[in-house]
Amino acid sequence: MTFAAFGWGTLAAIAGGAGLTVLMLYLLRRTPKPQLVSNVQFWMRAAESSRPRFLRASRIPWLAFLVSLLVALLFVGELGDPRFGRGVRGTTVIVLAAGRSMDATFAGERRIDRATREVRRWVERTTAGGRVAVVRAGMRPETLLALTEDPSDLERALEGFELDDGPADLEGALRLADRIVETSGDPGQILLVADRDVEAETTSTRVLIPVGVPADTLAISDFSARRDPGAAGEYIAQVQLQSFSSREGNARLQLFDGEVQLLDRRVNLRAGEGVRLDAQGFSAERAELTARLTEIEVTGSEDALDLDDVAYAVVPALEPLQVLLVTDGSLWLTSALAVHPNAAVDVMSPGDWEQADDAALAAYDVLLLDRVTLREGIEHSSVVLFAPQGGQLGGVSLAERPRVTAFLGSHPALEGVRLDGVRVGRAQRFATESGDQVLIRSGADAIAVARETPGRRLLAYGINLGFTDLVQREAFPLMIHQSLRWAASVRDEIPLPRRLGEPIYAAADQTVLGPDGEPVDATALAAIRHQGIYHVGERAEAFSGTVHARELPSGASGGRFRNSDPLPPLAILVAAALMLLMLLEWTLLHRGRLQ
Amino acid sequence: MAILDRAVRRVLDRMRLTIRPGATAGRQGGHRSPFKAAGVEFADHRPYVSGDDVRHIDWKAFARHGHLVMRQFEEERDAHVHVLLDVSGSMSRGQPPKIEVGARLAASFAYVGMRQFDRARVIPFADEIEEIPLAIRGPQDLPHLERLLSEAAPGGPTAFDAAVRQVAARGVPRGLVVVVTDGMAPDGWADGFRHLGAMGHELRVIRLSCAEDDRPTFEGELELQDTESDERVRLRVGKRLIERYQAVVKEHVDEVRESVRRAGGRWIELDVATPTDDMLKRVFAAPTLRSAAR
Repeated sequence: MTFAAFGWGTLAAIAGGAGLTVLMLYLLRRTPKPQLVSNVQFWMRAAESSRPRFLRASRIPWLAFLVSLLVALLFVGELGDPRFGRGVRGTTVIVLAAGRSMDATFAGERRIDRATREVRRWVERTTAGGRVAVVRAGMRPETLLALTEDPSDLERALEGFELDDGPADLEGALRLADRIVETSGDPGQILLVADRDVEAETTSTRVLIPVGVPADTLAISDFSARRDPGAAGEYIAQVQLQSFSSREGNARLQLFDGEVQLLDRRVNLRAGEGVRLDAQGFSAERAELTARLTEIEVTGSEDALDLDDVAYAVVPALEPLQVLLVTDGSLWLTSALAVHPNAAVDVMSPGDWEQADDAALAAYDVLLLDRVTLREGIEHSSVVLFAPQGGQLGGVSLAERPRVTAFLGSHPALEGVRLDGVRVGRAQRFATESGDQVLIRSGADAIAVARETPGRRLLAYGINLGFTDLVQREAFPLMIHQSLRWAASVRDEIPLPRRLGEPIYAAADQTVLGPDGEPVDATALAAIRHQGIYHVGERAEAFSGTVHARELPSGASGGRFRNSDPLPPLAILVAAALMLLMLLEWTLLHRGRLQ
Repeated sequence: MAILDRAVRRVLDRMRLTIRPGATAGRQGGHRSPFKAAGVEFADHRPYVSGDDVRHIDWKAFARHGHLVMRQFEEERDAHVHVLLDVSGSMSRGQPPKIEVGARLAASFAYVGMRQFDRARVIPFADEIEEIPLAIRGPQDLPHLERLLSEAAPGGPTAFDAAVRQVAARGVPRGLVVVVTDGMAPDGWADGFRHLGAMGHELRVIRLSCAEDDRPTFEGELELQDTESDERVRLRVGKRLIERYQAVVKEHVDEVRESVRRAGGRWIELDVATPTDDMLKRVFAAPTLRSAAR
């Protein structure tokens, strides 16, 4: 089999026909009749003196000349424009773009479908002596088809051709193709079938087959979700929409957590406009979010690309927190702890607290002591205290009606909490030590301190919860929540969506499930090509192509070739040289210089 | 003799070869010479000097004037006739072939010369001369001449000037040189004729022409083959090229004729299709000879 679109039998018939034609032309060639003359010198002199002026001589057989010229021009066209006729020779490495923009559609046809059709048409023109390789220019260039002369190999390769959801690395693909041509040992060329051209140095001749036409698209250019620092257990989702169009458009934005719809909003976008939308107040232990644009309308056009109409994000579950509350019955604290979505609270009376030791307390992540002394000998690593009575905090004195004159809002324990106007009837003043951070100050008195020593965090609020309106404020549960998390060294993850092309890390015994719920092949984990939510055990990771959302490359509608090589292809040079030689021969022949 | 049949010889028997006196030889013959000696044709008187033959004293003049004067007579001598016959390849052309007509003319000159007791020889030439044949002095030499001419097959290129130099180098005596050729070589003629004239020969050039050379009728895509050098040239021959060729040949012939005239020779142009009688009358015609002697 060959890449010429004929079988061996047909090729043999064509070769035989060509040979017969050559033989007939030889037999029917115009042979001059011999004629004896006394002396040819007189004839030479006569021919020399009567030679006609070039191109004006009636003796030039114009018809033959024009036919020769026409044949030469056809020869130039044949060699110069590979879309015209047959005759692709040598090694051809086809670089087929597999980026996200190749999924764009126009008039119902995807760019990649047009591109594969062009590849097949090219291969049909390849002669029996030509070899073809295909480089898949996805996010990571790879050789889709090694050098072969068998067209069925190409068909098999193209049948399973998939696009990546990320951009195509055309530069890397061209470098790979160049190396293939160099190592093939034959003269070759690179055929780039893509919707854009790139500036890349290649030693081989490069020909671009542009596919695609200018197109409009409305895209989700950013999508993320994170826990709300101002609301324990809640999260915020942010969506940014961008119009890559010169026309006005609108779309329906839907936000889903799994199958549950969280948001449904119609968004209008002017030409080139970007819009950012925040949605908050969603409470869930964890969330797997999908933002989707549907019912997209672009004035006078249509949305060409579906891939940028969807984005994914995840909100991981809060880590479980074991809390020991030591109180003689504070309903405020009990209620505040109940808000914490992942806290498991045990309540202990101050009497039992006197009997507790480190061994018994080791099961808890954090201790919350209400008006109980943290006696010497308790070395728990995370302790939050309200109105402690001496103990490990050293000297403590009572303050009546202290005014909150300053608070350290930047401290993680007070993140999102404002204490302006809080009234305190009674509070303990702490003697600070080196390294203590004063969280709440009343004049020169420290009524809340955070002490962090190696392996241990103490957070002491001097405010007596029985003599303050703080407990009635909505900030109180959040303050308890943030305080416990700081003391227990728990950090909120802000799970940014992963970029396509990054790997997924998983233990050897873990199965990674893809967006479709099917296990993902281990070889694909090194570089994720498709966006969606992947599951590694209990962990969810979202991959979105929003970072790659941009204007669609326009390609060209005519489908004409454009050679990026500054010099004309060698074939054109050779053909032009042949035509010049033919003209030279005609000139000399009819001026008597050639015999 | 096959070349000169009976009818031709009858014509030739009436012909006489007149040679310019300055080109005669030294033996007694039938041609007038510039030398004064015993003869039959009165030439002049001169004063008697002691020792003169008293038989040549003009007594009638002595009786009339009282002075002894001697009568003088022109001495008639024989002549050398050299016929240079072109046997190059181009002489094979024509209908009849030029070589055949040329051989007949050469034999005619030799025959007439023989009858006038001149020493005639035919020297074939192309690009060189192999040998100078002996002169014919009598009928016994005619078979030898016939064998020489029948063996002279046309072939090879023409180099007239080289042939003349070889003739001169071999000491050929002064006389009448008759060149029988078609002149179908582009070079060498002027030098050859000038050389012959400088040697004191009386020059007579007979150019044989034929329709194939002067009025070719072939046309089309042809491979022209040179009969002398075998050189081959591909040309598309049409009316325009033929007209140009005829002009080139005419120009060449005119140049050759002019060079003959400058050498004091006489030019005779004959078509090979001309009847033999007419041809002989033209080459032996006296008025033309007188004209050439001027």
